[in-house]
Amino acid sequence: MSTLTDRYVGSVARRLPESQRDEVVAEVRAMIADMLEARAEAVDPDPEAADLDHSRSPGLPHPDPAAEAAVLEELGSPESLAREFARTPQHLIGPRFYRTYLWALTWLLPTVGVITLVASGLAHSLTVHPVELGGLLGTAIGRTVSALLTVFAVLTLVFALVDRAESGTAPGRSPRRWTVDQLEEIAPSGSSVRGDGIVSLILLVLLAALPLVPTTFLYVGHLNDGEPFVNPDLGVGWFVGYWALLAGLAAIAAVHVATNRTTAATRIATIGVDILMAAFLTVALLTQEVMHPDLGNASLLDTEVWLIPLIWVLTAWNIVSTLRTHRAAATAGD
Amino acid sequence: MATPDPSVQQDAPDALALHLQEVRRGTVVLACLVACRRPQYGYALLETLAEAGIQVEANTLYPLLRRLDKQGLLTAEWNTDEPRPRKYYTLTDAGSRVADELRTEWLALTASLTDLWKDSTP
Repeated sequence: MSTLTDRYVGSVARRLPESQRDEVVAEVRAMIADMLEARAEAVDPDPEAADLDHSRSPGLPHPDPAAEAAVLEELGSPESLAREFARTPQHLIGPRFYRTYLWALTWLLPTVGVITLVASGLAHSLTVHPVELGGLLGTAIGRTVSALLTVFAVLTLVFALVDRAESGTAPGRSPRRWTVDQLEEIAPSGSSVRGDGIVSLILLVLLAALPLVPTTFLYVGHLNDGEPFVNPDLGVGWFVGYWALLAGLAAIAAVHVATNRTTAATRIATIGVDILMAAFLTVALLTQEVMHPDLGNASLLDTEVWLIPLIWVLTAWNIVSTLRTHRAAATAGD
Repeated sequence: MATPDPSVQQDAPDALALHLQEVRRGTVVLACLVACRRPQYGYALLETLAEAGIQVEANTLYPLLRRLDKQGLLTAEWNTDEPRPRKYYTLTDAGSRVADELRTEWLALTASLTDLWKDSTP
């Protein structure tokens, strides 16, 4: 078969899953050969006159280049033909998760942006002497951009994987019958409960990783030779307590994601665990050297002076948000 | 008298093409199943359908045949006895049952539409 057809078939094959490639390529070649033969017969019904060169490639016609081009153009682009054959998802994130993905982005990006901006600004101010405005802005903005890109990439990857996993379920499997009980609950913020839950889970994973993150991650590795932010000599019990409370919050978020609803029990549990976590961190900061000793020495301001108020502000914000959800649910008759 | 919205007029041919495509898409599966009661290779089936007045593009038909084969409604077998190897498709028992059901549905829809057309004609 000619180079043109080989190029076309090769282009289709490259876009097919490995498992389908040989079979589909054989079919496409047979299809092209049949179409060429039909064209040749239409031009000259005498088969002896048709330009068939079986010696070149047994059983395959040596086609007129114009006819060959016309047949390939009739078949359409290799991309569209491969798409028809493969029928695999042609999107990164499908309609089922796209809205939640967009919502998670609009929630997470500003949150992470503000936290990184404040944290890196504080880290720079507390560890560099003297502080220069140019250096402060450059450092804070640079790290914030880097953090935003990382969050964007991770979130996109997670949603793409979930989308693939969901669309890969067995064909013919009937979806669970929808009932009005599954009607989406809208949080007062305008977001969905499931979206809130997904964002919470991602933030909780990041918080769980916090004690293990090396200082090099925020470009202040020079302060303690790249060791973690948290004091490695802190008792194991404090780490276990921290992760246990996070696991509690993650369990509540997982229930919200699974059911797409909050209940009075989960809302009360959220507030309870939030207060427990804030109290736990406050006690830890007041009684233990939580931050790495080298960071404490390099800092102009004691960690607990700014971290404890920050923890309680965030907790209060979260409690208010949960209470608003509770009030909205109570109004709706829950 | 209100002037028709030019954008609606412009969209009408596109809408017609779209709906025609939708109507025809549903018929091609049934037509393939019926035509494959006798073993057929892709291009022969294309010609059979064209002669019966059912227009379908090769780049639609071949992938469709492959899907019907995967669904167990057709069975496919390469025939290497001819000068060129060709894949022949034949209706399976499951395909035959599906074809019967689709035909029954088609006839019922035709009757319903005919009644609806009569009832709504002034």
